Order: sequence, then C-alpha cells, then structure tokens
Amino acid sequence: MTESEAIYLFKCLADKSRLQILKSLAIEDMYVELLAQRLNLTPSTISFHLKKLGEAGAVHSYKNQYYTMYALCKGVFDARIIDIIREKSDESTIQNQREAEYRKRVIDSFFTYSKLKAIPAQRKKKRIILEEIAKSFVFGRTYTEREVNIIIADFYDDFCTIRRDMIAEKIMGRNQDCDAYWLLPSKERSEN
Amino acid sequence: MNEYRINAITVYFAEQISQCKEQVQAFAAEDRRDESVFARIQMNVYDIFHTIFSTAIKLQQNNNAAVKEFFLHKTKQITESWQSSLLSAEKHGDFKKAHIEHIKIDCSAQIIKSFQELWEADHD
Repeated sequence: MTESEAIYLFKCLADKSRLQILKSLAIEDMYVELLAQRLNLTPSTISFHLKKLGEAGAVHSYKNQYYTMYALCKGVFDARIIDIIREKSDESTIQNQREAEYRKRVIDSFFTYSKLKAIPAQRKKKRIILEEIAKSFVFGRTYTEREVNIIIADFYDDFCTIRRDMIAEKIMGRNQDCDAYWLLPSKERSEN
Repeated sequence: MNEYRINAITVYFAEQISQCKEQVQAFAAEDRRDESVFARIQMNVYDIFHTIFSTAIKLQQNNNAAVKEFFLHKTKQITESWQSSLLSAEKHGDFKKAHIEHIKIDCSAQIIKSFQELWEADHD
C-alpha cells in the first residue's frame, strides 16, 4: 500500500457511518437495502458510503441473483498499521507524487467532465492541460487539420488556439503546408 | 394577503432550518462528516426557498395568487437546474455530485409539497 493509498483509506475509515458499514460486512456480505435497515440510514446514503469505501479499496461488490452484494476486501485489513507506517518513501517517489498531485489539481480545476473551462494564463498550467488533451491523439499517426480540430473541439470550442499552442509547446508537430499533424515524442516535448 | 398563511409558511421554514442545524451539529459530533454536510445542504435549500418566499411577498404585496405563482415558478426553475446537474453527474459517473443533487431535488420536492399543503389549509 502506498502512502497516499493509506492516507485515503484512513480518511475514509474516519467516519462512524462507514465504520458501522464495515462492522456489518465483517459479519456477513450484505446488499444496500439490508445495510440501510440495519444501520437506520437511507439506501442512498449507504450507496454513497459504499462507493467511497470501494474507491478506498475497502469493499468490493458482486452480483447475487437479484442483488448487488458488498463484501470486505480482507487483504486490505490484513495489512498491519505498523507495516504501513514503516513503508519508506524515497525522495524521487515523493517528488513524483507531488508532481502528480499538482497535475491532478490543475486538471480538476480547469476541466469539468472532460470539458476545458478556460485556457490557463500560467504557462506551466497551460502545458499540463495541453498534455491532457494530447492524450486523445495516437503516437505515430498522422492527422489532417480537420481531424485535429474535431478532436480538440471535444474539449474546447476555440480549437484554433489550442492547436496553435500545442504546436508552440512542441506537443504536436506539423508540416509546412499545415495539412499533416502528429504527436511529438515525449523526449522532444520535455526538451522544450 | 392572508397573514395566517404567511405566518404558517414562515414558521415552517424556520422550524426546518433549525432542525437541519441541529442535525448538522449532531452528525459532526458523531464523526459522521458526510451526513453533516448533507444536512447542511438541506438547510441551504430551505434557506434559499425561504428567501424566494420572502421576496415573493415583498414583490407581489397583496396579491395572493401572484405570491404563490412567483414562488412556484422560481422554485421550479431552480429545481430544473439541479435536475440538469444530476443528469450530467450521472452521465459522467460522478457519484458524489449525483448524490448531492439528489438531496437538493428531494428536499425541494418536500418543500413544494409542504408549501402547497400549508397554502391550501384553512387558516381562517
């Protein structure tokens, strides 16, 4: 278990409703309505908590005839807290984690349901969102300008600006006639 | 304007807001942070609809029918925008946002129902 996974799990467990759900599941696997009845919570609240527990890796679900049943992920709870605490985080891992968290924060603040809300003014942030859009392109394939525009338009209406910025940031390359575009290798992008 | 009717509805909003406030604190004290947040969301919905009702009285003054129409029209607009957000959240698998929109929509449905009952009740 990584440090961030452990933090997420502990945060998830620091809730009385979720602990009560886990205590019930420790006895036997259950479905939402049964948990709702036992714990005197609404089914929608139970579903909400189960989804959070699922995201933390604490529970999993499976189909049983008419019901979706929930069960503890015993492997997670077999891990000893002392082993999680002893887990070493080396500097490069911490650095990578920080970078990944920063990227996620930028993407979360500038995208809503995969739609770009605005182009960041700050270059570092702009690069992150351009790289995010670039994930929709396949490396090694050549695109026409129209294909590029269509793909970018899924994210942002002003596809011209995005396309131009992706060229300027050396995320994409194009020929002199501007009728062929391609994704540049990561190494070329990072040397920019 | 029927003062008893206005008073009944005003008292209803005040009681619901007070109840929600108690739930917010009770859940927080029990380390049920998410439920506390949900109760706060419900409290905000009561607060918003109470503000709309107060505005309706102020703008429509002595016209009972206009007060009711204003209130129901504005609350319908707001609920429709929440329903749109709910659909969007469900479409994108955003279960947290979907759950919050459900809470708001369910709360608004309850308010409209109570409003209609209090409005139609015999206050004379």
